[in-house]
Amino acid sequence: MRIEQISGRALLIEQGALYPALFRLVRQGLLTASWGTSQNNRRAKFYELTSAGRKRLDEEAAGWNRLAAAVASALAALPEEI
Amino acid sequence: MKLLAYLRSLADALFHRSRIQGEIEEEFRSHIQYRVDDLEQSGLTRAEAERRARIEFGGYQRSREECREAMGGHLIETVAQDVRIGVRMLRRSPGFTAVAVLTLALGIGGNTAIFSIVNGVLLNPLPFPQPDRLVALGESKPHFENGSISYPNFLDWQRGNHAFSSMAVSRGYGFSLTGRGDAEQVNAEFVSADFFPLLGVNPILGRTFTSAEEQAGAGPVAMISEGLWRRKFNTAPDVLSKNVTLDGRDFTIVGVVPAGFHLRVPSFRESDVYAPVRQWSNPLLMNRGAGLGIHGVGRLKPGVTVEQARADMDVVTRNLAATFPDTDRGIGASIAPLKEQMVGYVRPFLFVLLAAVGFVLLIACVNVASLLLARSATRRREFAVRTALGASRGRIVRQLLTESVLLGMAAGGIGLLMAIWGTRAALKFLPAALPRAEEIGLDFRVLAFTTVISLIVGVLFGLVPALRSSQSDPHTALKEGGRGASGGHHGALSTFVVAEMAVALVLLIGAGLMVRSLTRLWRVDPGFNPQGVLTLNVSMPPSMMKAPPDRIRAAFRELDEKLGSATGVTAVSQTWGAFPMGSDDEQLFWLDGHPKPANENDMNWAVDYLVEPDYLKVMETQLKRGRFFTAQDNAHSPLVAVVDEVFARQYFPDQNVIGKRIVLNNSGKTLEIVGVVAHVKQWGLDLDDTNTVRAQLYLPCMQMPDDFVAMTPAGSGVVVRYEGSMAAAFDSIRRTSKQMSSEQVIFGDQAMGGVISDSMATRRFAMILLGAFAALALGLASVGIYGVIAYVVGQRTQEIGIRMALGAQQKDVLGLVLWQGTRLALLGVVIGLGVAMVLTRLMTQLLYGVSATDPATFVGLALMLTAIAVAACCIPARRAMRVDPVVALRHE
Repeated sequence: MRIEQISGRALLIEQGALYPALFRLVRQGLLTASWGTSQNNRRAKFYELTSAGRKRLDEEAAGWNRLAAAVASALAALPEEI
Repeated sequence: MKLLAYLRSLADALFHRSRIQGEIEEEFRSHIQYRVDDLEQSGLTRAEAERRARIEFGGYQRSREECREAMGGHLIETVAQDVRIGVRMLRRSPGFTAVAVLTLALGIGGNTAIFSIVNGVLLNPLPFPQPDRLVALGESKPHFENGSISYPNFLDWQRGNHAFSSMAVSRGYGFSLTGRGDAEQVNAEFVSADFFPLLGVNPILGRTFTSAEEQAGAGPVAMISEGLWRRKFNTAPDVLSKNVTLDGRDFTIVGVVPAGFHLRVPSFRESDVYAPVRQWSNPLLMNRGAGLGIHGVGRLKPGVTVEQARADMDVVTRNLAATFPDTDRGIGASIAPLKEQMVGYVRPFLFVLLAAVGFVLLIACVNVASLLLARSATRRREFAVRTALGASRGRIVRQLLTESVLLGMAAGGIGLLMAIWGTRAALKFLPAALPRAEEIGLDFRVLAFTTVISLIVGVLFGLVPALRSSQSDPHTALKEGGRGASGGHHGALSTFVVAEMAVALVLLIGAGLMVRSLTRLWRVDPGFNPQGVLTLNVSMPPSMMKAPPDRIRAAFRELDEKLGSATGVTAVSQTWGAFPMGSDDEQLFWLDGHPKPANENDMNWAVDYLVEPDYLKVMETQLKRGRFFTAQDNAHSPLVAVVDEVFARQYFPDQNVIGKRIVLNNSGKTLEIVGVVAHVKQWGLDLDDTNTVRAQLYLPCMQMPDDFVAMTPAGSGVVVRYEGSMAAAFDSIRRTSKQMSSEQVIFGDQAMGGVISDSMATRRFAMILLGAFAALALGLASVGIYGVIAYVVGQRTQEIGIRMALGAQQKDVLGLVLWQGTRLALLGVVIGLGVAMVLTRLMTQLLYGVSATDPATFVGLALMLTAIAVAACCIPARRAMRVDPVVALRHE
């Protein structure tokens, strides 16, 4: 829901579909999961990035930004520049 | 770190499966609950909030499945689950399961049986230490690829070679054993000292022979078999200090050969007595040019190849040829791996059988695959429901494959039992068919073969149906309510039918060619009439062994007279030389008036039959010209000979042979040819035409030289023509012999008809099995085409009903269905003919008198298969014909 909110409802993800991805990341050692208590006193599971996960996130984010920037500049290019 | 996490989650997944599942459930629930709370706070009713939360969450089951897969370790879990479901499914349709398992079990059983034979005969190493280094040895001569080695040559080979760590020879013999109960004829082998050590055979008692015992003038010693030790010596532990009386001489027993010792080569016979080769009293033993039926075995030095050994022996034999040109010119050494010598000739048979039984399995697979495919149509709803509940296509394919592998494994188990039983029965039924038969059995390799083949089979026949049936879109499948519209399967089913027909035809043609070969062989005239002929051996009392030749001749005349008057016996002859399809023996000669050839290999060769006047009466061989021997052809009358037509044509083409003379190399005597008889298939019905020595020469026993006659009391072959029962005739012969002397032994009796059928045993074994496989293939293929057409008719019931409602006649419907089946059958037959053309060429070696592409066999069997296929389609076609349009349409 936060993803929906942050992305301004541009990214719609079926909530249930999130979990397989989380499990996969846990298995790859990029996340750790632990049970805890939420603000309203419910048992909930908390996921946290491990250091490997953080590193991977930085790499992927940098890669994504590079790609996005490249696409953006390609789209912004004026006809005479080509 | 990553690895550790991975391992931990994998371990969790494997060992704490239920806990993990619980955790996933709990997490999902807490997620939804959390959302429900949020939504409720934003003003929705509790029920509405729950509904909304669930919709937002999406496919609950699917997510759960995916999570489990993401956790890893799901494979084992799902396999276990698949197996459970599979077993349940199979149990629910016992009819289908039984048919499928039995069909596959026949295929797998057949394959296991043939593979266990291939394994025992061809693949397993010989039961000797380092068997790869063992070779069979012989002299290669212009007329014989693998002829006998003369003892002096053997001694020189032994001394001169560098490739062998040892060499040995053996020569069969028959001793008359006296002094221990009834006189008895025992099989014996004269062996050189290295024989047993070379093969790695250790006596269970005592020792093997020393090289001193292989010298001339050494005292007589013998080794006896474990069997004889038990039978004649009561397993006495002090047997080594005892003597055994053989041919009237006392041999000291030095060792006991274990019963487990087997050496199955044509030149060797497992025997009760083994003696050093120099104990053989044959005066020709030290004659370098004599061919006495001595054959050798050798053990190569480590690392020496057969080719290197051949090159080495080339040098040795060339030196000998230079030193002894009279006897050794043109003589080389033939060296072949021992295993090749033992089993090489059955290899083509076994490979053809293995291919045939593989085809049977293929048909069985196709049959079960089409069964599964037909069944999957009725299971479409099940798969649709599972897909809707979140099963991926891969998951369903895996489920179906698990079921088919289960079927395969069950069939493998049953097939294994059938194979064990079948192999045992087949070998008991046809004992002469295979060498090393006693080594055929179940071992690790056979079990592994069966397991692997069961797995492959399970995947093979399961894959196509599984891929096909998992394709369906759940929407349409559920809407259709599981009926109709399975037309997509027809294509695959038709392909199956075509393939089955093609494979069945290939097998039928293979079996048909074998049957034709065998009937051709049976019809070959062997040149004599084997029916009513009994062959046996007689060994005279030991006192005769040292008797003067004339006394021996008189004794044989008396023996002939006595045996001839035994009840049931109509004619008797001694035979001292070659015997058709039994033993071979050759004479070297040159034509009178020509100079004596410089060495033996430049002389003429002929198979020699040393017989008595009644021989033709016994064998019913036709006299073509002149006369056969009479009682007047004796030691004191002019020397005579009779030849066969091949001899006459070969040496006196377009001349009258009668009155011509030849000179024998053995005696240097000149003989006059007095008659011509028909050619006899000496080398077997199939091989005689291609043998290099085909000329045949008959000589009268009574005119044989003295030194030859002196050896005959030890063992003489006898042929007898009898009337009535063979057992009765044999009994009266034995009684007659006993009356003459209690020390005279009759042994080795055999019906001549049996000799001929034994000579075809391997071929017959292959034919029976190939025929059985072809019949099985035919049965499976007919059931297959019947099943498919019946299924298609079932699917098309409505369509047929509509056609009939619109005015189609019954015969139109019949034609429609029949044509559908016939078309497939014909296509299969055409493909099968093409494939058979190519494949039968590979079995040329097994055929006799019939070409590998014999048109009669091809066309006849193609017609037969088509007819059977059409007949199989008739049953469903008639059912289609009787479809009542009203009933068929109401069905909808």
